[in-house]
Amino acid sequence: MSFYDDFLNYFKDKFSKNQITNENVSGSIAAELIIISSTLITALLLRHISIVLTAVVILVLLVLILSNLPISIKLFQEQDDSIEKMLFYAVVSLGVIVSIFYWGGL
Amino acid sequence: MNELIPLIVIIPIIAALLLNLFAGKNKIIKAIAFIVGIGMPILTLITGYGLHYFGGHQPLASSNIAGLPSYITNSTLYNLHPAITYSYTPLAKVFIFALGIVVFLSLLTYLNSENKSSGPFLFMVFMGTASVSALILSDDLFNMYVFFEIAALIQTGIIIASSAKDNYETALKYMILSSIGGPILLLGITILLAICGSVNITDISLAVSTLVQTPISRGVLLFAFSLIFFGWLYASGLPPFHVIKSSVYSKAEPYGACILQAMSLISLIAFVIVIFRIFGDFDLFKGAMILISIIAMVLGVSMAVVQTDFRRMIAYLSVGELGFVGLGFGLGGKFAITAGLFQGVNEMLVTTLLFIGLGSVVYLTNTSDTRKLGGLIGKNTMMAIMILLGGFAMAGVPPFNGFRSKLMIVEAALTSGYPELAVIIVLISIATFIVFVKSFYTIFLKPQPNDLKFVKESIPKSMIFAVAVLLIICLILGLYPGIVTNPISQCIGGLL
Repeated sequence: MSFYDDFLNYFKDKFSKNQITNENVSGSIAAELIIISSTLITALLLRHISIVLTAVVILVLLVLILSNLPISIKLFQEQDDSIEKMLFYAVVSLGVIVSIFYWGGL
Repeated sequence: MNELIPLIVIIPIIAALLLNLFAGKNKIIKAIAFIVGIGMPILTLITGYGLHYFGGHQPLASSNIAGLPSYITNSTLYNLHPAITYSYTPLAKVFIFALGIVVFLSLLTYLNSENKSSGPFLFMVFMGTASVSALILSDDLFNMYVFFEIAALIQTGIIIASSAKDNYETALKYMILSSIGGPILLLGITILLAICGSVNITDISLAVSTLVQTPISRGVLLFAFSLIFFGWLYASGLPPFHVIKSSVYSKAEPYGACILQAMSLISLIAFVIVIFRIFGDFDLFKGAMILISIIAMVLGVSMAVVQTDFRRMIAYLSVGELGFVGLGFGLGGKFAITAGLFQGVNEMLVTTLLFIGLGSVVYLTNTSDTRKLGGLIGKNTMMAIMILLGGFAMAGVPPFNGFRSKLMIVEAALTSGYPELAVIIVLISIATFIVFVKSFYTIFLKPQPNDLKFVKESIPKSMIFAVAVLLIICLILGLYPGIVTNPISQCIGGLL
């Protein structure tokens, strides 16, 4: 089965209660491609630190991406207007930023 | 001292109070709002550059007092800023003028499309304008925080004033998240005050450059940096606050959303300049800026492309475009920062164009759900074309302003040795283009659904005028970018 069919079935499964149009599916596929390509290109920036690290990170990312397709729909579901999720990500980000800035800068 | 500088903040505050006072008198508040709305951009143009001191005198070093003893002239007291300093620079002029244009055109749309004007709503618009103007003028970190908190409350008020579904819920959620972001920012500022002994940004920058060499102080400074950085993410609506910010924009009325996004953008600019001045030499600064900017751009555009509500779509695009501003600061250097700030001005104008332009669709149909819309090009072809051109400006299509600023950021990325960033910028611009082509087709070109009902027959002329003016400005800035880049570059040269 092609990637498009896989994607469409997943989409129908997740959003069967809502009205789905071709634009929704094409939009989600576009988002999928943007996320995958941007993530991999961003990982290339690590070459300024270490080329070996870049290679390892890209391989890990490829495995993670391929095992979690389709990413855009999962991302879309994670970023809804739920206050619990917003608070969760705000607190996690605060923890990550303080940790990285403090220990990374010392 | 320039006596006109404080008027940039005082006049909108007085207007806000008067509008609240005459809340029931429709004609009077319309007249006050219109006069002050048109007067604000003029005031920014006639005000000369300079400094203004509130509640204290200028630093002794600037006073040229002869005969001071050496124990004073050799101490830090000699250069300390005892007063709250407002600094009116070419950079502040560009942003406050652009804000004035946005506020005026939004007000014009509001005053013409609503039969009865709301005094409290106009109060919030002018208080918000005063707050963000003070943010960009102030050289005092605590003063900035106070005005920022006022701006945050005003933003909540503007959402509550909207008639959109679930607006109260969104306002409450924004307030809850504010209770994390605001105090964290204040904590960072407090730590800086404790370690540097001043809240003046120039004093703090000088103190930090010395204190950073001490290991203990360095740890405390890094902690303060992390807290202020997090507060900045909240202030500007960058991830992880992009969801609530886009929700806030989409729940406000279109004219309110224009003002909200302009307020967020100026908050972003004001605080990023402060962070750059204080912590710009830290190794982590560039990496953090670049990473958060990429996350914002990718999340913004990828969330926009899957939206079925076009107000939410513009809101996400608006949040994503903020990443370009951050990227300019992350790349560093005069050219890159100028490019980032130029993108900030462009984004403020283009997003306003799109909110007002697509607001006309809401005005006609009372819906922003693209699945329920179609065939609207027949209603007003000129407006449809102007919206499409506005979308092109945001996507970075020549000859509009978005093309110029994005090209400058691409050039800056390439010359800084980051071709990957240039590729990501191009990719995001293409994705933005896809978003607009898709939404333009669904709203304007797709066959009109049979059940689509029109609540109004035609679009108010004020909306068409506002969109046309903004489109002309976008075109002028695309053809003559020096109008904005020269004053910004002149100011950034002084910061580096």
